[in-house]
Amino acid sequence: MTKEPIIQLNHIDVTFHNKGQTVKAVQDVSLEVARGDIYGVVGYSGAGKSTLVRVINRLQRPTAGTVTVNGQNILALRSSELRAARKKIGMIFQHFNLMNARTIADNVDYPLKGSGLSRKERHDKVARLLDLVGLSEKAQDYPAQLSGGQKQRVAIARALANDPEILISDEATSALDPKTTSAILELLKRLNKELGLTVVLITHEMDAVKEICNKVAVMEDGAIIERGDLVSIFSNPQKPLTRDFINTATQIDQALEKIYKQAKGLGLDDHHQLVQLKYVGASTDAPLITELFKRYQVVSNILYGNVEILQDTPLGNLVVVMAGEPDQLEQAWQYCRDAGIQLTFLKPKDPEVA
Amino acid sequence: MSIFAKYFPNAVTMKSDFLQATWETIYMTLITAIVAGVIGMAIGIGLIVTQPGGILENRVVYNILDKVVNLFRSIPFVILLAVIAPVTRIIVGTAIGTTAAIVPLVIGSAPFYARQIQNALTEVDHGIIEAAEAVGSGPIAIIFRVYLREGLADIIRSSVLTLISLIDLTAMAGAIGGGGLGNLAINVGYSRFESDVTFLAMLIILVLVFAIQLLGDLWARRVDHTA
Repeated sequence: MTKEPIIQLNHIDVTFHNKGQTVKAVQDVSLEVARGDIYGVVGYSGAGKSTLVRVINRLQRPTAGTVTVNGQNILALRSSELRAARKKIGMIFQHFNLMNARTIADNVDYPLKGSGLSRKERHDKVARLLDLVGLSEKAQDYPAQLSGGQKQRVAIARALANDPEILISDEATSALDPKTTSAILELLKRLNKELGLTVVLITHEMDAVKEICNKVAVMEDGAIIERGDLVSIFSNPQKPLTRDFINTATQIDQALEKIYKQAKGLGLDDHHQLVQLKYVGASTDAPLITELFKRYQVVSNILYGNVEILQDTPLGNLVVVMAGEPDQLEQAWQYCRDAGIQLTFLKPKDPEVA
Repeated sequence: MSIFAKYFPNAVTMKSDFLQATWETIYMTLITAIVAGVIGMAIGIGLIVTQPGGILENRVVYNILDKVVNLFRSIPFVILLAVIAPVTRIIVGTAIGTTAAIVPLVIGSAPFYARQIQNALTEVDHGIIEAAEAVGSGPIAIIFRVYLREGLADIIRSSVLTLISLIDLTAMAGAIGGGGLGNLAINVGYSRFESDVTFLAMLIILVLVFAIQLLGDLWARRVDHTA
């Protein structure tokens, strides 16, 4: 499946000079976003994610590199052309950035000023946009009267006013509570499906990425250290930072810690083995635990289980204690491997020694 | 009227002087407010947009504006009245009189107003400016539709402050024959030991100041939607 790229960043460098200090915020980053993608860019704060995406609509001019959006060389545009191009790249922010002196309807109307639409057409369009984000009844309120989630919806409506093909979300859910975050992410996903909107989502929360993205790039110190489609990144992360992010999202680290703490009580020996099972996709369909018992009389005691459905692909993570005769265990493990399940033998550290 | 006559024995005979002085004060304040308002607003906006990180960042222009504002704010007004006289003569043809006083008043208050405007516009969240840039607004649209609109409540408050300090300055205009209530209070009331004249002139100024403050506060509250 080859989709045409809508955003192409090539060898982008962004260097800041501040009071004699030179900060390389982004170093030699290339990124390609295909039309219809929801592309997540994850990283801790200071990794350069915001700087990188600001290059897309030239809110930040890169020190080096090329930017192509919709076939247009963004860096070569004159200011009037740039303003026209920016209308087709919506953007939402962590702190919403609504105009406090304007009503909700007026905020959404703002980008339409000078668009050549009549007053009536603009009014109708604002009404449609507010309806799309579910805030029609708040049209005459001021931003100060709205909750965070509602403000972000208004910001989304404003970003969509000029029918952009791209939406850049700069930590848009980072100031919101988990429930509101989910609702906003759902909305973005819906817009992606219904309007064919390409979304670039910057965040430090892997949870947000997990919920809606199909592609991910992980950033550290101004560089992209790992990238790929969501399922492969999640099922097979290469870099420690990526694993960190994923483990935070699946909370497997905390689970393992708890398990290790009570490992003594598990009575592990050569008949009992602590194993982590990871599987992607179809292998979840087989009733594995039952199968292992029927074939090899291996009893699996589940200590932790987590199944993520990413892009309609199930991604399972089990921590079990397998009990059985040593040779039977060997065969059971081989069976697992043949079924495409990734096995990791966990050896709890002795708390007294550690 | 008899009580008024009892406590203001000299002032009661000077009705037309008071009317004229009040009118001169209002005239000087209004004309100066309009001229200095436009100049100060332009300089204030200039400072905001050319400052480091501003939408039309320009170090040279910013530094020139900044220094000019500081320079003129440093000169005591009474001295400015005298120093600026030759310039006044070129602009209005004479260096003496109410209209002539307007030139130093403008030069004395415009830099002050420019700083006030700069401070008011600094309060506009940079994120809002960035959001406007992201939807394709140019500098003119950002100045008029974002900065001035979002900063309006603070601009009104700063304008009230400037107007009141301007009334204060007009009281000194008497030094160059500008007339006004300040002149009446000093050159008539104080010099002739008619303290009731001084006191009444002060009362009228207080009424003017309170009226401006009250109307300004009401207006600012009306346009302020931040809370």
